Amino acid sequence: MSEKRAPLIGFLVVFIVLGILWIWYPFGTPGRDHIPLTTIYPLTENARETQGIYALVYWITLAVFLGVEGLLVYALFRFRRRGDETAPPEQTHGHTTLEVGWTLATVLLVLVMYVPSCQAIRFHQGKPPSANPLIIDVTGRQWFWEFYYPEFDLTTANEIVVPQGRTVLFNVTSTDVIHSLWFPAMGGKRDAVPGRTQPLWFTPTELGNYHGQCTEYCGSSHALMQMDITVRPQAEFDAWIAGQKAPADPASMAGFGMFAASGCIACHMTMQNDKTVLHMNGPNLMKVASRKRIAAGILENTPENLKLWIHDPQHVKPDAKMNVPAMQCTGPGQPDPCCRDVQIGNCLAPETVDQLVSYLEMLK
Amino acid sequence: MATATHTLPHAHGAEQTGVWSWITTVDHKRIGILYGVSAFTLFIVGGIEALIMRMQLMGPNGTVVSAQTFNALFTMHGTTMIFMAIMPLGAGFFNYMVPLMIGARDVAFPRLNALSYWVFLFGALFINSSFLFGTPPDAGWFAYAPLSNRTGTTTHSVDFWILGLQILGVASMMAGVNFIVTILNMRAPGMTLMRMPVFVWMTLVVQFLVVLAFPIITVGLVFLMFDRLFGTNFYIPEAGGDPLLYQHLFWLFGHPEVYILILPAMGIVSEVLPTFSRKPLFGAEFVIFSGIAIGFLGFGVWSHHMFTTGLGPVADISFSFTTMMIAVPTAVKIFNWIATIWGGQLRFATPMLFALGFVFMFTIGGLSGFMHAVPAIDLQQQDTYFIVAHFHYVLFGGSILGLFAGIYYWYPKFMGRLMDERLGAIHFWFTLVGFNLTFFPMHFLGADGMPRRIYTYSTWDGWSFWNHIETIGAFAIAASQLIFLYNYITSRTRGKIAGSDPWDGATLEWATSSPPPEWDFDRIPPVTSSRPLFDQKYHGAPKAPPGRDDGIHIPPPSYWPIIVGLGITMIFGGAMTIPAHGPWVSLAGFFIFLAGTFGWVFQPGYGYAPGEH
Repeated sequence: MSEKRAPLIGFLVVFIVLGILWIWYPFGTPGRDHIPLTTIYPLTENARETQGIYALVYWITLAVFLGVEGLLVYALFRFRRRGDETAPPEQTHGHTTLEVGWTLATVLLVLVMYVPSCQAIRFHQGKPPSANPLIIDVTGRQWFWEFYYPEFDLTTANEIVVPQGRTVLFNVTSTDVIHSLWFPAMGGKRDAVPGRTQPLWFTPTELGNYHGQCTEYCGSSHALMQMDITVRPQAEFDAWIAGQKAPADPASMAGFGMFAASGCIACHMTMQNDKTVLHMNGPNLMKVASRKRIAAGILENTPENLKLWIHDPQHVKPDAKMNVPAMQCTGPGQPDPCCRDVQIGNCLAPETVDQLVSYLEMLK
Repeated sequence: MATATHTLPHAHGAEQTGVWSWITTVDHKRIGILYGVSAFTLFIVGGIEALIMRMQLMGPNGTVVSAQTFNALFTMHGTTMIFMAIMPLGAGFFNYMVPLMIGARDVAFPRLNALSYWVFLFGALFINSSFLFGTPPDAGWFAYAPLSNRTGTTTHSVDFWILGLQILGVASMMAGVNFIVTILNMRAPGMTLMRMPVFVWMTLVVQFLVVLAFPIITVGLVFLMFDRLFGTNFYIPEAGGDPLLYQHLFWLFGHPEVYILILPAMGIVSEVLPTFSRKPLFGAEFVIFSGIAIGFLGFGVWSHHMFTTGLGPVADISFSFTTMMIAVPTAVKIFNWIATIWGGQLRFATPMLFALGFVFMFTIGGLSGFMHAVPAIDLQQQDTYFIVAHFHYVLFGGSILGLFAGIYYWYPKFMGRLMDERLGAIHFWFTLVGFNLTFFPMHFLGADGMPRRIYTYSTWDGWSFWNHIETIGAFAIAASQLIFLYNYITSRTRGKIAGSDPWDGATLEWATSSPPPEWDFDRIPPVTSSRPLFDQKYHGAPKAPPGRDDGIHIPPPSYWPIIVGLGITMIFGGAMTIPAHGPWVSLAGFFIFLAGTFGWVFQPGYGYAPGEH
């Protein structure tokens, strides 16, 4: 009995479809406008270095895929049982020359990729190319990023601005669990390990705003720990620094009392953003109104969203360390966070929330 | 006469049935089936966990489960599939097949074998019981400290995970020792090491990996347990501990573990491809040596899981070298498999389809693995869906397809009947297509920057399309497993009668009846080559004479293993109640363990099968 062709066609189709997808993807994938975290379109020398070695490995592995799997599928067609065989096929037990040959060929192919890989390591993990990089101390927190510019004695959270063309050197650490700092457009990631401070550097050259996300699982709201890097010309960067360092608007002082009285002050600073307020429990809010997003990149910075966030942080961000029930308990059985979290006993009246929001809106 | 008093009645009688006979069994074949059925049940549990995750991720802003539930699901999916599905499915094959393939009548320590199974089962039940307490483990399947430490997780969820893994580790260690002794000491006369089937070789390598790798995670978990329960500071950075120590210990175990998962499947494929090509395995000694080389190298690559932690250029250059070198023995295996089918007379029966699927898919997993062996590339791919794609190509496209090949291949030996070929082919194609729909796009999502272990994403991220496709693929995989189950169950009564050698096999398991008698072989078959049965059938090699040996030695059933297993589980599981309630559960477990051991040592460990009277 001859073997049916259906399985052969099946393997051939799978082979062709996977091959086409493999070849198509790096060229067909949409750009950063559609996929903000894409790794395909590198923007710094680091990312391009990675892309270079990746291209080499991509083509070699693709060739191996086409060659080996192609051979496999071909063998299925050629050596399927025809039904007229009278005896078992020739019983070949092996071929030493062939074995040594393909072992050496594989070793050679591996070395072809290993050598440039080592060069890439030397590049990425060598000293930053600038004698005077912009240093930013990064602390991963559950679940936001704290950034500190020692050069300007400036603390901020989740969103950073850097000048075009100057090498940025991040010193990455954490104070709770392990996180990972990653701006895909700029190159590889670096884990934020508590108890260690580790470098990551790149030189941003393209103006624009780029997204990043925590990539080491860090607990309930790992998915909601995002960040932004904005590359601006030197003059705009200087202006941004000046704005961040400017003292608070006196007009906003009126709202500070409510902010303090509501307990927010226990974790958030709105009057200072220098190194004396590093590692507070919550992100620094001195210039919160200047940020595009709140809650570590997950909500647009609008009054409605601020209200939503203050009203029920746990709903927006599961297990968030912020626990401020914001509504009055309107009656038994109501699903208000105030009723749910009775042990907190710190219910904020709706008008208090409104006042807090307008206060935060003034912190430009 | 001593023999008479120690011979239990069933050893002379017909096959025993009923629940009690399964609880007290020490027969390697029954234990193999127990392992297989338990592991497949847990495979389904892990699969359901995966389906819920895929439903959550089908579109942006999913609302199927909460963040906390999702995190527990991926933790338990990984833990279940690795420790409670793939490993014990492999163990099922070791148990059933190894004694048959080496011409032995049982494993070296049959009651220890039963104990391994019961400890495994209790360990699996223990970890999964955490769902009933509402605190399933949720720190990820590698549970990095400090997230898994007392500062990161305050509930008992991680305690269930730590202690459960310790229990499962005890089971694996006992089985490891048992199979090493069995393979080295119990082979039929004439079966030299180099005449052993490749599956047995891979089993031997796996057992050495188990015995050498599990103590490392045991240490890592003991530290973590002491940190959590008794206030030590091994991994607490504020007190001078180091979270990276945990990662080193975990992955020094964790990478050999990967080979513990894949080598059994490689062994199965090395049996199936030759049978259905009607040729010997091409370069068998190279395949065997490659397996050993993979086992050795597997201990020297662990830091490639940690490139992003910043170990420095020297570590990265060294570990990327060892990692890339693993590609060499792996490629040698793949070339030899292709050379095996080259020039053969291929029959596309279901076991062959799965074995070919294994070679096809595992190759892809190997190639993507090579990509992140390059540290620079790894820094972009680490902890994204690209990694998820890679290890599913290795563990599903590799291990699971290989294990299915084994199930279809040896089912007639287990059951005496063949599984339905048409349903088998449907199962295979649905699985293969569903698998590729689910996991191939994950490469794309990884390149698109989607981190793994996120319970939600927004429309804005641009990840919706491929996630949608993946969820459809996942349901195709799930549906095809139902076809498999139907086929498995109905073929037991409706399948074609297999006879002892349905596939024209070459190895000893086909030399005895299907299913084999409790004593495996009426007479131990003579072995003169690596393909004894093939030589008997085609080259006139000597066969065993008809009839049955006198006084065949088989162990009597025993309920002591399950009691000892219960004791061990209570000793470990009770540890988490020590800080709050004192050591009473562990102490009770210890006394059960002691009583069980006492009964065990005083039970006669031998009986006899009926002779040729």
